[in-house]
Amino acid sequence: MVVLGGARTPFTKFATSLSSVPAYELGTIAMKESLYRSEVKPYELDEVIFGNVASPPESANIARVIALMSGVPEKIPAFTVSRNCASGMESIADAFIRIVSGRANLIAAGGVENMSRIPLFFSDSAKGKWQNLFMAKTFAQKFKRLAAFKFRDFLPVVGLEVGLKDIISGLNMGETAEVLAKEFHISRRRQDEFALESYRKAERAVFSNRFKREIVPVLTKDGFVKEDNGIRKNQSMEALSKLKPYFDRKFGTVTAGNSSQITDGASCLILSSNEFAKKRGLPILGVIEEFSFVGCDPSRMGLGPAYAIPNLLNKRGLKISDIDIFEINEAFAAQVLACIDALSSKKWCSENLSIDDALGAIPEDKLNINGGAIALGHPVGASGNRLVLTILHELKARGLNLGITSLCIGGGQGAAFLLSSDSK
Amino acid sequence: MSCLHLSINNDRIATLIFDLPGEKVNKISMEVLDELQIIIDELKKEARAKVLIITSGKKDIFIAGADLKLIELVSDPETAKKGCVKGQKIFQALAGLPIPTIAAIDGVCLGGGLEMALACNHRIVTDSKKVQIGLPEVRFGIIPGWGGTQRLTRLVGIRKSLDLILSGKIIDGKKAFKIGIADRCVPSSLLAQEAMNFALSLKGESWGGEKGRRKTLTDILLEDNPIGRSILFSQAEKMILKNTGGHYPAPIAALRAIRDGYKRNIQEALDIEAAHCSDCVPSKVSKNLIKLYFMGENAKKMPDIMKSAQTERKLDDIGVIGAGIMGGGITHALARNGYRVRLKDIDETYLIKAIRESDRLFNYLKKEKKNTQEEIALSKNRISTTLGYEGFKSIDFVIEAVVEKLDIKQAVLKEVEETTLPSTIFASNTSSIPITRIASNARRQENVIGLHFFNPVHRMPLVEIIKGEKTSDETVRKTFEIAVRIGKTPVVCKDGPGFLVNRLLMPYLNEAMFLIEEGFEPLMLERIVLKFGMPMGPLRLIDEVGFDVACHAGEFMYESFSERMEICKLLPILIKDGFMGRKNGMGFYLYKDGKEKGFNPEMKNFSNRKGYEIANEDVINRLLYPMINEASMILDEKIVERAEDVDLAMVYGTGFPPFLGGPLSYADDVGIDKVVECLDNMQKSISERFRPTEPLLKMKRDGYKFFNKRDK
Repeated sequence: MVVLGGARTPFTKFATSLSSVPAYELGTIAMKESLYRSEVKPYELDEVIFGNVASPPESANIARVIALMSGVPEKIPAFTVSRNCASGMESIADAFIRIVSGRANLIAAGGVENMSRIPLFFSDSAKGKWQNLFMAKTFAQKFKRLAAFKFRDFLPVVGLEVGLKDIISGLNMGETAEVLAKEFHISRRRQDEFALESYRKAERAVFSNRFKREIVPVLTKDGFVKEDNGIRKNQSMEALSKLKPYFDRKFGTVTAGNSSQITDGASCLILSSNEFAKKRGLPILGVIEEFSFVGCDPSRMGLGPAYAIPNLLNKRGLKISDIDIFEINEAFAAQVLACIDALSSKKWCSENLSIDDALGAIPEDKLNINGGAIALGHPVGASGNRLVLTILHELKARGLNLGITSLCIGGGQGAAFLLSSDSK
Repeated sequence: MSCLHLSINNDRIATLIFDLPGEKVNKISMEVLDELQIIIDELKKEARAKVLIITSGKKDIFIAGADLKLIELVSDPETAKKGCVKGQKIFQALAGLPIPTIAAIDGVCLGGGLEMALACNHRIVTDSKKVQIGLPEVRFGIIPGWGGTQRLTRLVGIRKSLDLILSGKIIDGKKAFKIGIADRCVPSSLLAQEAMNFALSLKGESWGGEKGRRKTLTDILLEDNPIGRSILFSQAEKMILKNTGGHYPAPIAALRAIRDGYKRNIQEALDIEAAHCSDCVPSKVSKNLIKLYFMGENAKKMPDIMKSAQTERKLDDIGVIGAGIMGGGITHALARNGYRVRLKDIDETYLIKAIRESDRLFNYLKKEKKNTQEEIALSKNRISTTLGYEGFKSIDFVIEAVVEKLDIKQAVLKEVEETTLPSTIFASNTSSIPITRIASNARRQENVIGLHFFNPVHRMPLVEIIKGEKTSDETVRKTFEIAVRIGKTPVVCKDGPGFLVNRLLMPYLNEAMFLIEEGFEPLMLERIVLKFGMPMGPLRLIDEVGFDVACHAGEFMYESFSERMEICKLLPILIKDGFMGRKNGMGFYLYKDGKEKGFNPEMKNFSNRKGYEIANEDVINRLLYPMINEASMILDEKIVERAEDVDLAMVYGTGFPPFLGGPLSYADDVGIDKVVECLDNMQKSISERFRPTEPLLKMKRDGYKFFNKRDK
């Protein structure tokens, strides 16, 4: 399956430039642009698939809303997928199965999340009181039921926080990163250095127009939003080291500075069979070769890539050294570093992957060469899609062959995709 | 020929289906009325039915109205009156049936169609988008003449009736129900069933007269007493005169018919209506308006020779290059009508401005309830913007609206040819540069065409489609389809400087400049032209066009047509002094923040000739006769083939007074002799530029008029 083209919106920090743009609008903008860049028309699509986690209330099945808003004819179906942080990859995987099995020729697969717009809720007790109030018939009833409200009933429950907590382990995502930091003895300093590198690489990438080729500007009331705004220029160790641990005030090392940012954004790829692209003489950005999804311990969800990457390599009989570049989503510096350490550890590999030797270290200079979610942000439903888009552009620009993108997934899973620039 | 089908079911409910054979729509002709009379007589005599439902056999059409073609042919008040009285009598008989009558309406119900429905006791409408209810007669210079002015006022009161009848406004089913025209508004698919249920619920008792309409205090104060009514009517009359400049007699006639008939018994009231209507029907204004209507409808029909045999995919992706006022307006019009638009400009501030303006228009459409919020969201999302040619491989059709410079347009054409598929059409929105010249270096000259919109795009109904020397028929056809689909009226013209509209406008504007250069009071000039019926004075128009653009176009015309388009020297001088028109806030009028701030005092005197005066009529002749003179050349050169194309284009593209029918209808009315004579005189006393053209002289010699070859 080949990728004809793709586009993404800028990734912007929580409650900034794109916070007023509904998720479906972001998705529509990315999808329309990716269609244009792929030189195909909406009516040629066989299916539209979008990944999304928060399910904005105004757009149940957001993929369908995006499809129709993008001018896709009504008769062409659309569905939304969720695999938490890998939702934007799940859409690609679903497209892969359909296209490779000959069930479809052309699919738009995207991911979208507007984390700024995740609603605030009422607590369960307040909700009960509201329901009672709505059902009150007489004035006296209404008055009585209104009087039952206490001040604390009006305190909102933050949907975003609820969403970032894993109900099985009882840990929120940052707490799972703390687990790994402690178990793998990843120091605060190492995490901060990794974070700083992410900022520096992203800054360099912006400087050399690495992201411009994948971004479609979004027009808001303040003009065009053209760039990712999470990349703090002149980020320093000093600034990073000043931050307090966020998830474990006492013994913790994971801070807001060495974690991914909460972000709004959308990304979309147009996928087709190789034959379709060749027959139509369409541009080819790259190839989706293979993918893997693997489950793991929910309280150590950050290790997902350490399971998924070996699984993926194994499917094709490849070694780490065969791969030219890697993108591992930077949910947390601690978590990426834990994965690297795990794969370099003979003990860990033999215990967890049942192989005799360590799989091998992922070379630093091949990993996240344009920075990652620590600098760019992590709009959960969109990130997986963005990683594929970014790495394909990078493979093509550098004339490299193979790349792997991988994500850890809240709830304890790992995803990995094998990509190449060569469509043979 | 039978078009009315009566059936009576076991419940003794009679259904009368109107289905005009061989036609797409139901129209009321004299034959239809005769047939209706027979059926009414039958129903009266036999007394088999206890309720009558009238409905239509056409999809989305109830009755579109009286046959306009018949009205157009009536040229004397007596015939007109006969027609009125006949319809009134038969609708009166319908209203007088001893059984209840119900009109079940699921589609267009206009003019005579609504008058027939009003003669029923009840009306059920549907909430379908296709339902159009109204009395648009005044738009054709006539008034409802089959009882509409009287029955509607008795049904819904004076104010609501005036609102509908004086403007000719068309409303949907929900609105009709809300203001009391309809008794019920039901879903389209349930109409037959609901009409039947309603009929059964009436239990056969007769029911007529005014329904117990709930009256508001304003109703009582304004409509239920003679003083209130007289205030109401005099205010309405003032309004009409203000809006029409007294050029359109029909709204006044309608107002008087309503005023004089309101408190009379129905027969007297109908007589009053018939008298007013028969005055309007033969009037020149009505003939001109009806003629224009048919010309407009005709222009939207693809000429047979251009129709394509094979069915092909409709174009749906359009690129617009240049996000200025025109490019932005075109983008909005396209997106609103279902096209995906890729708007390209090299300057992002223009893109932002264009999208903001388009959003403003969309918000206005929402406010006016022309489109729902959902439709608007979809429309807005059809627009995407780009600074480069990314995505142009998917574009079927490109409209260029960049600056009016040949080399730039050619450069854009070259870029487009390099970035699009070979089948992509390139349309230039040039206002005066010949298409053939723009296409001269193109690789695919057959795909290059002119598509000239008028400013503001959302309001001006005309587009000129300009066929360059090499433009293929297929290119013309595709362009034509787009123009019609976005609701514009296309006039196809041959290539040439200024094409049709601007070539005719140029002598007119030029002459206005000559007049004020000679010392004619500019404000007086504007007033005379407005009084004549133009929507704006020539000086204001020059402000809108921009002094530089007008000047540039003028020079270009002079190069092409020499002395006939002699240029007034005033404009270049004004440009040198820093006047540019609306665009820099300083023209004949002053502007600030997009709003006009009154006449520019610096523009008062251009000559020391004090008190220079010309008779009003001579001013108009000086402005219009050169235009007519030029039009005779345009027809001779076959820029367009028919005089009606000229009239239609000038009315739709420049707002030439519709009641006059267009410049050539006007010339015919004045008389070609007189036009030539006047041009002769002006040539002798003023300048060579007035010399009558050879084709015009030939017309005079042969006794031809512009329109007398038209078959009726």
